[in-house]
Amino acid sequence: MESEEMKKIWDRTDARLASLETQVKKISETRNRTALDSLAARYRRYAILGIAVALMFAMQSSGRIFSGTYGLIASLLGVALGLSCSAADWWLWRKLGSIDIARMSVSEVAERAMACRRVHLMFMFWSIPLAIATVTLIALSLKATPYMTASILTGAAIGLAIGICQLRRFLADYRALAGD
Amino acid sequence: MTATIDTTLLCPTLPRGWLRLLMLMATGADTAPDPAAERRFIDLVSRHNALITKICFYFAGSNADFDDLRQDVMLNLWRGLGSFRGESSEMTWVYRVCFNTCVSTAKRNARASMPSLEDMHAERLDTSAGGGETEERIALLHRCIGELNPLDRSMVMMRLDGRAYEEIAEVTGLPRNTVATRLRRSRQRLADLMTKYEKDNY
Repeated sequence: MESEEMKKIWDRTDARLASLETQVKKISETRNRTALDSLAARYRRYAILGIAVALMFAMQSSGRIFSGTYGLIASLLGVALGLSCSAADWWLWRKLGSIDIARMSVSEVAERAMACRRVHLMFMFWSIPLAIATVTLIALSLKATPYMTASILTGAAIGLAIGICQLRRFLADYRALAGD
Repeated sequence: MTATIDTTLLCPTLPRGWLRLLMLMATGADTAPDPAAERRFIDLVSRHNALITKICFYFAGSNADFDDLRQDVMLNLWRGLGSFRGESSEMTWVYRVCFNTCVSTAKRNARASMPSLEDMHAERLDTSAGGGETEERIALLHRCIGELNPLDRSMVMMRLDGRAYEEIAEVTGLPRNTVATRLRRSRQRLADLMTKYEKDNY
C-alpha cells in the first residue's frame, strides 16, 4: 500500500471519529493519575516504608528481641538497609517527579526513565546482599531452633516472592515509560 | 454528541484526604480554578480535540484504553498549560504532550486481543456515515500502526498528519536524519503489514 493511500485513510479518520469528540465544559478535581504519577507514588510509599524499617531496627538495637553481638550487628545492618533503601527510593521519586512531559521530548522522557531504572537495578546489588546478611544475623542471634529457622526461611521466601512481584511491576512501568 | 470532561485541578502534588484539607485550611488557599486558566484550557482542547481523539484512538488497544488515554492526555495538558510559554508552536506542544502520555501508557495493539480491537472498532467508528469500506481501512490501519514500536508510531502519525521532519525531530528529540531513516523503515513495515492483512482478508 502506498503512503498516499495511508494518508487518505488517516485523513478520513477525523470524520469517522467526529462523534467521539467531546466538549470540555467544566473542570473539577478527580483522583486520576497517570502511569508516571503511579510509579513516582510507589517510590514515595517505599521511601516512607524504608524509614519505618530503619526505626524498627533502631528501637530493637537495645537487645529486646535480637540479643548479643549478632543481634546488635543485625540491628545496625537493618537500620543501614532501611535508611539506604529509603534514600534511594526518595531519590528515584524526585527524579521521576522531575520528568515534565509537557516540556521534554519523547526520547528524553524515555532516557530519564531508563536512567532511573538502571539506578533501581544497580541499587539491588547493594540492598539484596545486605538484606540476606541481616536476616542471617537475626537467625544467628536468636539461636534459632529448627522451628524458628523454618519460620525465618518461610518469611524470607514470602518476602522474596513479594519482592519479585513488585520488581516486575516496576520494570513493566519502566518499559511502558520507555515506549518498549 | 458532547459530554463534559472532568480533569484534575489544583496542584497534583498536594497530599490527599485529611492532610490536604489541613494544609489548605492552614494556608487559606483558594481552591477554585482560575477562570482565565480554565478558559485557556477549554479553548486549547476545543482547537485540538480532533487531533487528540485521533492520536488516542490509534494508540488504544481497547475501549477502556481509549478512555484512559484521553483522560490522561487531558490531565497532562491541563497540568502543563501553565508552564507553556510559547517556546514551540501550540500544535507541537500538544503533539508532545499527547505522544509522551500515549507512549508511556499505551500497550501495543499486537498484544491486545483481536476481540478487544474489534469491539473498539465496532463502537468507536461511526458506521452511520455509510462508508463500510472506509471503516475497514481505518480498522486495518489502526491494527497495523499498533504493531509498531510506540516511538515509531508517534513519528508515523505525525508524518501522516503532514508534519515536517524538523517538527517530528523536535517532538521526539531525535536527530532529523534519524527521524528520516526510522520513518522510511516504519512506512515500509506498515505498507507490508497492510498488504499482508489485506491478503489475509482482515
